[in-house]
Amino acid sequence: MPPDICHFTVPQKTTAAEVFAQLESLGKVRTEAAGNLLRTYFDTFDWRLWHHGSLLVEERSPNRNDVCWRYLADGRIIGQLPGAVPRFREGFPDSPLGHGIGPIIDIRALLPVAVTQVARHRGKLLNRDDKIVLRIVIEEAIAGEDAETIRFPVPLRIRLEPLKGYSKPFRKAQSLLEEILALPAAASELETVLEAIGQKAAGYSSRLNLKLGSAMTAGAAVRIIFGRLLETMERNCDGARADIDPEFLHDFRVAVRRTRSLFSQTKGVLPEEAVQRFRPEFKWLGEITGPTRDFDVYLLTFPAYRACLDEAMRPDLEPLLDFLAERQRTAHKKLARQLGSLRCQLLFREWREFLEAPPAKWTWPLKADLPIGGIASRRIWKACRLTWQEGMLVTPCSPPETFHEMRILCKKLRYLLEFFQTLYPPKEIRELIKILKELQDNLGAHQDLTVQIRALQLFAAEMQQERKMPPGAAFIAMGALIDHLKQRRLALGAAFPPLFDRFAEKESRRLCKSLFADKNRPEEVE
Amino acid sequence: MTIVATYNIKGGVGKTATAVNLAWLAAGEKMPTLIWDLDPQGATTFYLRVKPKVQGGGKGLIGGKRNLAELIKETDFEHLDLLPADFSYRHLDLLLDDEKKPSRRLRKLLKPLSERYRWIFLDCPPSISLVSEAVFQAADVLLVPLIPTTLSLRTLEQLTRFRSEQKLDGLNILPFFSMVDRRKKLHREILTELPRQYPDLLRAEIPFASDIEKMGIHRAPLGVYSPGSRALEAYRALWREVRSGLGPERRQEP
Ligand SMILES: Nc1ncnc2c1ncn2[C@@H]1O[C@H](COP(=O)(O)OP(=O)(O)OP(=O)(O)O)[C@@H](O)[C@H]1O
Ligand SMILES: [Mg+2]
Repeated sequence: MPPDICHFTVPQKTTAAEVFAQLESLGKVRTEAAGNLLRTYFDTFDWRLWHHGSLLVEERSPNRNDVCWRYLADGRIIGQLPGAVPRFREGFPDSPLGHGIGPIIDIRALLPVAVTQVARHRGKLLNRDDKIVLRIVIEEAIAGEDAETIRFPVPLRIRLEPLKGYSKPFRKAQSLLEEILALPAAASELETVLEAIGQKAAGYSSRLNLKLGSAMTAGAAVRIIFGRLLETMERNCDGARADIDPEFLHDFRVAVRRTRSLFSQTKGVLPEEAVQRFRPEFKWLGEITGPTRDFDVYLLTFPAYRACLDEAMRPDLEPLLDFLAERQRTAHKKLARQLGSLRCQLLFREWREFLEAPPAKWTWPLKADLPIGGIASRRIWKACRLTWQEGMLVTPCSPPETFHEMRILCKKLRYLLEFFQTLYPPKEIRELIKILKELQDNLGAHQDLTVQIRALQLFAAEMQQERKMPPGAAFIAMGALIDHLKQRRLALGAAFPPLFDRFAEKESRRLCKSLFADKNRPEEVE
Repeated sequence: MTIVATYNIKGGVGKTATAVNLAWLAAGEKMPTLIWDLDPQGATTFYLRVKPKVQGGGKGLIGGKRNLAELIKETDFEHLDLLPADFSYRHLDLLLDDEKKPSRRLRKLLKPLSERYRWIFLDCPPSISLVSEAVFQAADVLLVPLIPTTLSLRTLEQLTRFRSEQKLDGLNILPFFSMVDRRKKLHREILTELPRQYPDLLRAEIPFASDIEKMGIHRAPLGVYSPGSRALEAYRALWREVRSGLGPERRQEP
């Protein structure tokens, strides 16, 4: 097997010419004039490409502009295109690169994460026959968060590219570099660049990633969870205001809902004054973000709507798309204003002050000093039982409201499990969440359809009132769509009982009981 | 994968020059290409600046002890790889004869490379032997350089007869004129006469050119040191014919 490409970094201040000079001891080195380029690294806000193990860059040199998708680990190219990085997956041309990246970034926008100005030096090591036996690429770079802030030096990066059948010179160059000045690159190119500008990869995740211990007091634990949720809201606020992509608002809303849920699940743990001050404000945040989110969802689902209809009828649905887009714009404009309001700023500031204040500053109830383990187990166990009880009453023909209530119960339980999962054995909790998730997906889809059916009926009426709808065709198309959605809802209803049974079967009950209700639950372990 | 062998029973007709330049052109179109230098003299290997040595020699290779892929050398040109010559190839006949189905041996050895290379060129030594039989079995195309002499017709007839005797129906024999000197009356005559008798002749002809002779001095394919030459144009025309004659374009036709 031929050896793989390898990378070195030079921590000290060294130039490419100096490195090439060192390599001369292995043979003649032929170098080319350096090429200059501006390289911009892209990823989604939640680092989806990074988590996928790849890296997307746009490289601009005086005479060309390329998009290059590479593996993080060894820099091998996955795909390449001329042009610039588009904001969304739809902006990529029909190409292997576009098809590969699309499902990874999904609906998220590609944002620049760092920029480097690079002088790229290429060299070739020749043998006595003047045959190339090794290729060397050395990059000298300075980095910044954007083109204006480029000034931070990046360690020199050396790349050795072996040629098939010439592993010996490659190995020699490898050990020479190790000996003299370079270190095998411990971090990927992107990590090195981010470090140079004082950033870190994967600095945002919508996951909770909490680490709680069961002996921790309830007061301390909820402050940690609330704090993490506040951070998520703050991180997503600007993106939601600017409407960069719909996920900012989505993550923001999830954090709001989780916050509200935690308020209700930890009654008596927080100081009453604080509850009075803050709880209504999060309800308000939930309300003001609702309309935009709804229209985001309709717009995201629109391609699926179109696909439901016969080919011939599809163009008739276009007036609906225009209508939705306009409504979304109006709703978002209002939302942007509200998220930027003093009320919102004050809420975040004071809420943070409260969470970070020394406990003595507020009168915390006694319950706040109990270990969190017991409280968590009791709440979860109660939520489990409620879910089992109510779920048994749901049949495929139950009214939509019943499905809706069921969905809320499951969501509450899910949030609890996620808040407190580090208090329990990870494998079991993961298994439980998995079963619950399938159930939730079904209920979520069911509820979405209910909301959409209702909304579409309403929109049809409004569109007619506003004379936005050419009578006839669009009305018929929307009618057909509504019928189709009702059919789908029926199918989802029929799929519910077996999914519920999985969650309610003996095995799962026994698991829940042992985790949350038995003698050895965390409270008693103490 | 398409296997193209440059072959003529006669020596010094331009087999090696053709194999190297066409392979270089193929690689230039970003198609992964391999040349196997089967000639113990190693002219191809020399042109590409690689040492004429194969670890384990012809024996290890033909006997299957060595994996072909491990012996491949990357040339200075992107997408162009070489399986070098080895002095022991002068006994290739004997080595093949030791195998079970000697004439099918090369085909079998090349099979695992089919995923990796779009084109494989076999540069053959001049002769008719067990080696050439194995080459005929392995190749999809036999590219035959002909110097325009009265003998060239005979060469062609021999080859066609051989193909039907050996039942090599799948083998596409593509002859073309090589080292053409239009100042010579005989060349001109044959150039007009032979295509009438033998319509399968390719249109492209490679002129006798000092540029081509200099490959040995530069140790490089013609295009590297003489990119604008008429001779390179001629190889391009030849390559277009070879490529389209076998390429997906033609294959898709009914
Ligand atoms: N079209 C041409 N014009 C001038 N010289 C040529 C031409 N083609 C090949 N030559 C030269 O003629 C000699 C023989 O060519 P080449 O090695 O390509 O032929 P060959 O058929 O492979 O020979 P061999 O049978 O020895 O392997 C070489 O020195 C080569 O440089
Ligand atoms: Mg030859």
